[in-house]
Amino acid sequence: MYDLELKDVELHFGGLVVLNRVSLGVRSGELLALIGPNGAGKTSIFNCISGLYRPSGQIHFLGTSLIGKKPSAIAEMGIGRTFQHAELIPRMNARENLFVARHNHLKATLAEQWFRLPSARREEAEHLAVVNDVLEMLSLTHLAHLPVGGLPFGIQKIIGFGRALVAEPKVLLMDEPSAGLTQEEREELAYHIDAAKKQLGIPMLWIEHDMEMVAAIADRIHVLDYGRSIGDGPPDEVLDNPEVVRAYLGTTQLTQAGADVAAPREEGVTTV
Amino acid sequence: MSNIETGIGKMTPATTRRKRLSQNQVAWIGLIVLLVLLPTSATPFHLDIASQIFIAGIGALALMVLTGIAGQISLGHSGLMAAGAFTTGILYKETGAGIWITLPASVVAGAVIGLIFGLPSLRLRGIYLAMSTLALHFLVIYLGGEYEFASGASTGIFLDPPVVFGFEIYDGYAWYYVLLALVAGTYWGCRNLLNSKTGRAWEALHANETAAEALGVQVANYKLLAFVITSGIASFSGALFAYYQNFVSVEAFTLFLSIQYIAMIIIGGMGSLPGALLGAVFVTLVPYFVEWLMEAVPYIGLDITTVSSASYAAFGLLMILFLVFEPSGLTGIWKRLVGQFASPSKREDTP
Repeated sequence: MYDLELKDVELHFGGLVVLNRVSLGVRSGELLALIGPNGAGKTSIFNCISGLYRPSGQIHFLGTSLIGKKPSAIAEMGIGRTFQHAELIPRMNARENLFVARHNHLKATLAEQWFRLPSARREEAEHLAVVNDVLEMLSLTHLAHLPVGGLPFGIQKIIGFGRALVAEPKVLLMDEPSAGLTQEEREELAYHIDAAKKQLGIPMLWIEHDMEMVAAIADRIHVLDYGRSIGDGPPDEVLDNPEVVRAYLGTTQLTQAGADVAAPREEGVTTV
Repeated sequence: MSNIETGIGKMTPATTRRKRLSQNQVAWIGLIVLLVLLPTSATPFHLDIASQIFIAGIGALALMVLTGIAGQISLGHSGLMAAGAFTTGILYKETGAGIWITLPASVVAGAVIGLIFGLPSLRLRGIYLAMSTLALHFLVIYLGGEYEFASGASTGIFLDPPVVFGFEIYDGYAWYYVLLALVAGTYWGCRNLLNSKTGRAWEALHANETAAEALGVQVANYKLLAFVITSGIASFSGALFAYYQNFVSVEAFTLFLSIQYIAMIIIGGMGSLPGALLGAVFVTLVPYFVEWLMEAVPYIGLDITTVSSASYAAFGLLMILFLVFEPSGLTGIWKRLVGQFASPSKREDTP
């Protein structure tokens, strides 16, 4: 049984079919890689799950429908995500950026906040400790006091990943967390994703172009092309599927399909 | 509930508190001591300027939170101050109510108006939002004018000095300390709010509404909350202004006043609470400085109209200069100066 499940999800922008009857599911403790060329609809699926888009079809999380809910309500249910471009708050430092994600865990009333009553202080300290632990875990402590706007993009992406973790999500959606990272940073990220999967035991959905990373740590792969699902299964099986290879890598690279090929069809950018 | 390996259960909040005061705290304590001792060597004229600065400071803090932190532009600030001044003036004139009624009523009136005029922010942003808040200004001024006309007080409403615990706040010294305490209290409350979930939510929605929403921030609610809280504070400062002047009239609340408040937060440095106060000092002093300059320079015919039009021109020039050369305002200049003078050994001090 899937914890997070999409059934026949369809999304249109005017006459453009962005998602065409997409169905997929993720179990708890499972890392599902969502791959496909740019424009295939991967980020759109995330935006449907997090409530930014209004698709038709069904999206269920532990039996509750997410369709029609506000993004903040969906986030409050425990569906956390990272963004392709990190989307941090440039004026704040890393620690404060992570702290923002504790929003729904903090219960202090407005008056308690305004007067900084002992209850509010205690709560802040407790949650700051969670933030500090995540910073420590991601080896970001030494950068935590710097405004994130001035940090390298790769570091911002890791902070964005940390921000999603800090919320203690019940589902984690990661939108190309490795894009813009150096090889070294990618390896570190892969380690953190794998560690988070094992520790949290939650369903994780992961958009990724780096096939080496996918082959190494994904439990399963779901392939999209032009808004359609064209494959789903264990990494070695899917990456050898001729249709997947053709759609994803282009016909000329058939023979190179495998773990060491990481060439997306185009390097465009899509934003939220 | 936390199954992150970093779970809450494992953690205890840091119980060891550092006893040593930070440089920052020392600076704040020094500033407070200075401000408390200042009246001992001040003339009534200086006290008056200081009191004006404190009232402006409260209003500037409110606008800084709304615009500099939460990112919502407003041209209605003068209208909100008018709302507070008129709420106080009308309540006093009609019922003789004391400040324990007039001030809370002014805050509530401002908050309600803020809620109504915050609603367009759910759809509009930038210059369009500014235009919709402009309607607020004209509506309040219209209603205030109507009241003045209908009540026969066509020049305005006179107020007697407020009485607090049997003390009449009348002379410059009393006003100085009362307003100093109030501006300090407002600053402290705003600071606390910004260091809490509310302030972080405002920063988040300012930077990116979509991302903030996906982090669980109810963007619409928090925008309205920003309007409600800051409008309440702005209205409060308007009420204080009315008491301080002993007089309420629509003429004090021009559109130019709103622009002066925007000037304060730009000149002070967007997004910085100390910047709001620095901006309030600066902008309040400009007309005095212009007047002094015009007296000092010979052959300029000095009358009220030339002084005020020179002040307008000085404002325009200053805003342009700051926007072009120092967008981070006086706080930006201050930080650079501190950065230059701070020795490496001092930097090592901070962990």
